[in-house]
Amino acid sequence: MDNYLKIALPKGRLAKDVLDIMRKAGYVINIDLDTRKLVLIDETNKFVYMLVKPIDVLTYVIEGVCDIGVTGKDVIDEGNPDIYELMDLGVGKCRFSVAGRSNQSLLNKPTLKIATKYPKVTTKYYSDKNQKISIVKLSGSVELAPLIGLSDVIVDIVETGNTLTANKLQILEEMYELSARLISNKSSYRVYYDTITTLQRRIEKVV
Amino acid sequence: MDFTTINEELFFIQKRNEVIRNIEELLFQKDYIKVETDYFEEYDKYVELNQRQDRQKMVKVQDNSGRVLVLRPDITSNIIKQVIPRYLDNSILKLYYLDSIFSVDVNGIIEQKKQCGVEIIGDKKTETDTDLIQMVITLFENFQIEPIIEIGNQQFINILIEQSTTTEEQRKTLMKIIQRKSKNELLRFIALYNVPNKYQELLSNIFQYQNDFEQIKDLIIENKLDQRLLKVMDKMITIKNLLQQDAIRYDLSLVTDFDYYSGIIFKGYIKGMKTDIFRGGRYDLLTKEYGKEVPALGFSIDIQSLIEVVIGNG
Repeated sequence: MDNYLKIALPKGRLAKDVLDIMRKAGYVINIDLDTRKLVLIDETNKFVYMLVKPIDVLTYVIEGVCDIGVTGKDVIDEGNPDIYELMDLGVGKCRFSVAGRSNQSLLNKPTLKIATKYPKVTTKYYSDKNQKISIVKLSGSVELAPLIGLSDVIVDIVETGNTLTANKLQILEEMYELSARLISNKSSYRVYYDTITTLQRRIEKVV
Repeated sequence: MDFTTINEELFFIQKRNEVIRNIEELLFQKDYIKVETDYFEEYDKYVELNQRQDRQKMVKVQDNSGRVLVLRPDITSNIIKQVIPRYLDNSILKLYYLDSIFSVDVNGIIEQKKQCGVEIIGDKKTETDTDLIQMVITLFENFQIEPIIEIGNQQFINILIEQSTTTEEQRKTLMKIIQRKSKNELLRFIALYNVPNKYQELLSNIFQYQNDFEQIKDLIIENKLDQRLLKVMDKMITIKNLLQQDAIRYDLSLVTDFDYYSGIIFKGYIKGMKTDIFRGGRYDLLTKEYGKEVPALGFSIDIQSLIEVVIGNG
């Protein structure tokens, strides 16, 4: 298995989407994502898939235990890692958005208090706009923060907006679009150049 | 669990000493002189010269007078700073160092990395570029290691970016896109910022070019692109002919983390290692910043990584 290309995939629906794209690109993939196995070996293509949390996909690729991986642009922007961001796969689309309570006035707020899982992205976005902010770092259920007065607004990724609506929040500003990216470790890109660039070329034709 | 015993620790130290001795032996035979370097750089000056480097990764130190310094993130600029003001015209200096560099990792922890590096100052011959790469290959051969070497040209990228953009902001953005090899963002950039038509083909295919220098020359002539690009291609052809090695790959979209490179650049990789194990290139422009334009080139190797590979190979 030493010569197999190791691919980190984000657990869940995105992993399925990625394999569907690879199948469309002509790869015959006979593996079952529904087992609870975290490591799946694809003997046909000499690939090993590792199923991990999206944020850990980045770590696996940075550390070189996986050669390439698929993760959200949100994770990449927050981590600012030294990797290649080879292509946009066009799946897992969502937006970075600022959200808050409906009919909320943000006037007379010299410093905006923001709850987020993405402190670096948030800091950069507001410093470009010259808005003073203070950040509350959370790791989940961010929508709760404005409701209980932990923050004025939140910065989070929004896909359908259903969670926001259910919590009586609304989008105040759309920051920018996000989607899943194919990333590569720089060293692996060179070592597995042919395999990785072939994969990239074939996928490019179908996304 | 058991922790590393003092005997095991001493074994590693012994291995490290062997590796270092082996490298120094080779450098001594080739007439390189060992130099000592400063730990600190002036923050403002360093940042100005290295705009592409992430400031958050630099270890900042402040003295009582309020002067802000950087604990050296690399050693090349340090040596150039010392040598150039006193450099005698037409002399060739061959120097090397064995020192640590410092950086802050993603978790905010200070990392120390031991490097061995070589600098040749005052030599502009293309043969010197290839001799230097050949020496790195020999150095690794002594440990029965065959790294893959990736060669690019920073001057090529610099000219291409300069001709494709109109503002400093655009230049930085495009450089970052190329550094990340992000094809989608590259195409978006070309469409968004009206890159001149004649440069679009060369730029949009930049990630694909390997050693097809003749083909690129045709493209440059056909589209009447900047003449300096032709000269760079001729240099790359010379280099390719001088370096007939299996382990060499060419990548014209290669960009290094340091702004000071201005000619051939290269990186070395070993399978199973998470980052490059050595990197280097020609940096004639850096010397100018310290008072005199003198041709210069060099490389640095990560000693700890090398030792790990040597021990791993038994």
